[in-house]
Amino acid sequence: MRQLVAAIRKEMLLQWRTRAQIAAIFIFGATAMLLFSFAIGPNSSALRLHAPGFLWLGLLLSSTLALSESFQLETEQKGLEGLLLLPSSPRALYYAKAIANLVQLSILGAALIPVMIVLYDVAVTWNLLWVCGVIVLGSAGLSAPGTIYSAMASQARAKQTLLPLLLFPLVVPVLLASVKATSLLIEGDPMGQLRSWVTLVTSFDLIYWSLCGLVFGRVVED
Amino acid sequence: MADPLFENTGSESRPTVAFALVAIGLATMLYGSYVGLFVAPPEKFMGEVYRILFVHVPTAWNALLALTFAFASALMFLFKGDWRWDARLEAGIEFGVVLSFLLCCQGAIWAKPTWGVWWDWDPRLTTTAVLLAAFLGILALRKFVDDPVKRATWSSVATVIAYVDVPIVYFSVKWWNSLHQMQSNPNTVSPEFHLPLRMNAIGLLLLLIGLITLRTRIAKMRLREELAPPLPAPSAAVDYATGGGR
Amino acid sequence: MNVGSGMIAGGWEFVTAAYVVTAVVIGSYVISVLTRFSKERAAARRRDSRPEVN
Repeated sequence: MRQLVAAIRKEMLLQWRTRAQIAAIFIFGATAMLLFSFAIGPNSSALRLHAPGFLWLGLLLSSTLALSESFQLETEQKGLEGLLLLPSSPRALYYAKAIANLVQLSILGAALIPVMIVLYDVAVTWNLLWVCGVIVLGSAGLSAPGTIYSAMASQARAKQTLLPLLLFPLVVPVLLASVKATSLLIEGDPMGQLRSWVTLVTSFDLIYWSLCGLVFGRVVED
Repeated sequence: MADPLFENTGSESRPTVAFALVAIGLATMLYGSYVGLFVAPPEKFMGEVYRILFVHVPTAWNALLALTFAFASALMFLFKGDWRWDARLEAGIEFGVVLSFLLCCQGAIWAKPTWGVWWDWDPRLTTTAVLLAAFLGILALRKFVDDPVKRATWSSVATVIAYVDVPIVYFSVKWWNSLHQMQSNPNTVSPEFHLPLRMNAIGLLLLLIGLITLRTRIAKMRLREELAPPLPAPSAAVDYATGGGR
Repeated sequence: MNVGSGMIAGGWEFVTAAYVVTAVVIGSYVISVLTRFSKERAAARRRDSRPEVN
């Protein structure tokens, strides 16, 4: 447990030191959302209807940049081998990285909300905190498998292609559920479906946070 | 070498059983398709179009079987470290991807006359499309990793992760789709249509076993070359014992 | 489609397409596996026949 706390502190320090990267990734995400509106055209009702979808697509595309950065330092300076020599378990290393990625993606997602409100003219009659909650749950779903695939991709060829290629099909349920949940929160939920979608994404999170933690050791072992 | 990969290689160059299975499987499928196309009568509601099911349903069963075999091989490799399971994993994924791709094509050809659109977001077919993308990604992973140990371990991990996702994807798409349309694809087939369906299913199964066996052997041969390349033959001109040329 | 009659008319072109696609995909894969198998077997035989250093 102490290993985990120490690892998390290290990751958070790293995140703080590279905060300029998060700003750049945010700009990328916002630009992507801008491009979506050009693809649809100046049709305000269509844009408003699909706003949650665009928000999550923007976040998903940004996540490929954010996640691929997460093992950058380890590969560049052979930090991974150094970390593994320490008497700390790979599992602590995994969870620290995954939590750091979760925090980064949640911040990104929350930052993209005002972009969504402005670009797609979304009326603000809903609870911001609930939407942030969905963003955290969805980001957790992206972060767990994303961290493990990022560890693999950073040591393989064609790194930039491999991560989204592996991650995107896997997180289809997260995308579906998060978009639905966000849409229900923003536009109202007359039939009370929100709970089911939240349960779906939470189950995905629980399954993958456990599974990926279990197998991470095999991915980084020598 | 102690590794079982390097033992019992004699029988591998004469895979008569595998060749026989492929031949019998193809023949069975040809006969089953003949019966399905020309002998079975038109169906009450679907007319002639239902005949597509005689290839679509067997493909679906065998695609899932191939990918389940891949999943089992991945688990076995992770637990036992036996290279033969990595070879089987490669074979299972490759054939699973081929059948999944075929399934999506057949599904689109079925959907157009039945529902009027090429893709109707049917949960089973949509899950297949997601599976196809996921396992194509794993094949790409195998191509982009040069170290055999990492390649085997990582693709086993990725296979386990992707396979566990299958039921989750299925249920999420099913629920996502049900909010928009109510559709049902025929699940039950009347008894007079059982023969072509069963023949094609058995034929494809035999074909699957034969092809996966052969593909596994290809992978094993490549692995042997990779893991223990033979030493080069000594140069005939130099005799080290006498310390000079001949 | 004959609306109301309850039966989809025609459709042989779709049936043909489905069977042809199936035959082409499965046939190509069978040929691919057999070709690769004989190539690897020949390469393996060449490797095994080379004299090894003791």
